[in-house]
Amino acid sequence: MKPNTKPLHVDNATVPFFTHTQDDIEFISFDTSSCVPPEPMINAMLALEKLTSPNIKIVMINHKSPLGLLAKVGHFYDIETEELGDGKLKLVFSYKIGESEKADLSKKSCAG
Amino acid sequence: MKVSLATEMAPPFALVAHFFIAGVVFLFLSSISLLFLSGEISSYFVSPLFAAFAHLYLLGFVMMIIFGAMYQLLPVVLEAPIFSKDFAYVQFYMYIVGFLMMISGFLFSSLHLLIPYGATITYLSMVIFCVNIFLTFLRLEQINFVGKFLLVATIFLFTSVTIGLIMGFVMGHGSFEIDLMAWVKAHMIGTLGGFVMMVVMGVAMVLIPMFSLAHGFSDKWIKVAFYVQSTGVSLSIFSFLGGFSTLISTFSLFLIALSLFAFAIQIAVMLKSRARKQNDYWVKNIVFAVSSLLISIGLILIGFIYDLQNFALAGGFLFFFGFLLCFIVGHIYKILPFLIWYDKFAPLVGKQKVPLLHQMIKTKVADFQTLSLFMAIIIQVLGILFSIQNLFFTGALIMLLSNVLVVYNTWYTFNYTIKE
Repeated sequence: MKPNTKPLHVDNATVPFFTHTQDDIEFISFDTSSCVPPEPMINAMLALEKLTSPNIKIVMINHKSPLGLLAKVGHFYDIETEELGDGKLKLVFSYKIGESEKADLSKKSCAG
Repeated sequence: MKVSLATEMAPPFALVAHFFIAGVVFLFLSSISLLFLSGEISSYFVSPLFAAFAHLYLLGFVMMIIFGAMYQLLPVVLEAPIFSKDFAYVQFYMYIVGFLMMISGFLFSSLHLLIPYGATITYLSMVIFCVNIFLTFLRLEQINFVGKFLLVATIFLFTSVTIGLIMGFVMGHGSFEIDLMAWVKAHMIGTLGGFVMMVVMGVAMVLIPMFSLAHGFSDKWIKVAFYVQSTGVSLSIFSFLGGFSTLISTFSLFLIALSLFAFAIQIAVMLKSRARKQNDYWVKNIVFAVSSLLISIGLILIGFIYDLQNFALAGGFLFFFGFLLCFIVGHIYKILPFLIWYDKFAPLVGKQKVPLLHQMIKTKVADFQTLSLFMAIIIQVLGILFSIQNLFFTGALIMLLSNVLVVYNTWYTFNYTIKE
């Protein structure tokens, strides 16, 4: 965990959220690697609602690639993925100018 | 397979709910009828009451839940919608009417003439199901591995219910002669080994990794199970219908037993690699179910080799209840909240606090129900093995209590509302 990491309250989230700033970028992170559907999707959608500018990035740790989520909103964001040593996957969502504002996050059902 | 249970391809929840609600109601009714079977645990004779119970449980509960699960899961697995939802509704109502006519005929001798008509309506409803599934597959360009399980299962269902219908006509009209016992065996193996087991195997490969967060495991055992099971069941049906030598039919049954072992190993491999280590009622049900499956194979083998009727009967009982009932009930606790959540609460995410899946089940009731079911099954198996009617009755009573709790939890999940 980064030294300036602080808890972040997110309404209706089912896992703890954290925030830290690095090089003027705010990173909002959460870990759903031990959650079964629909929790990864719920938390990811709540997090993506906070991705409102290029100065923010969302970091999601999950036990696998959230295929349903990516199929639904993946093309609205730049997404970097990194396999972590313990079988988990780290996804970093970045704002894509001209695309991210089109994402419809109001409809939350998708294939977890 | 990386799929979930709910996608835009899935049918409306109301359709699946029809099958799940009916299935749980018939589970309750079959538990009541089980109380009256204590006198038959050491009998060679299949009484009308036993026939009524067997059809109530297998057609009313097991098949009903499987049909519902297939309608939900098939579009998700195949990434294509079911061919016709209307066919599915027609099938449901015809099925209910048909098999209730059959059961009435078994229970009341004055209504026995209803049996062939009920059987025909039930058969036609299953044909509608099979045609609906076949037409769904027909539109696909490629079929994945779980899809193959479900397709082969449906082919076996079509074959075995057709065998059942021909048997019914022969019994009713005596149009031509058949070896009835051999045909009954082919019918049972086709339905249970071909349809029920192939669906369970395919569905397990989706649900167990999904709910246990298992990934990166080898799937070689389930591949072995697929080919050996389909070969074993096909050979078995042909050998019984064609009057082949005992050696061939025994070999085919050996293949089926081998495939069930491979399936059990695959389950163990998946559970071992799971990221979610909690041993909740779902995991306990799966472990008990798979253990029951293995023990039931052993008991049935001993029963046949040493001609011990009670061992074979205990093995059959353990398969139907220790394996099928525990496996299905364990999954009802996971699937129902999941589907109801997507139907009722998914649109509320972000707007208000939504429940988690385990909150939509009375977990302490589910824990108690699970343990009482295990106890009931063990007591009843001992009752059969030692031919103690009172012991069997006691177990049946506990099982009734346990199944009432399943009904209660199902009702609770369907009626779950967000507390203010």
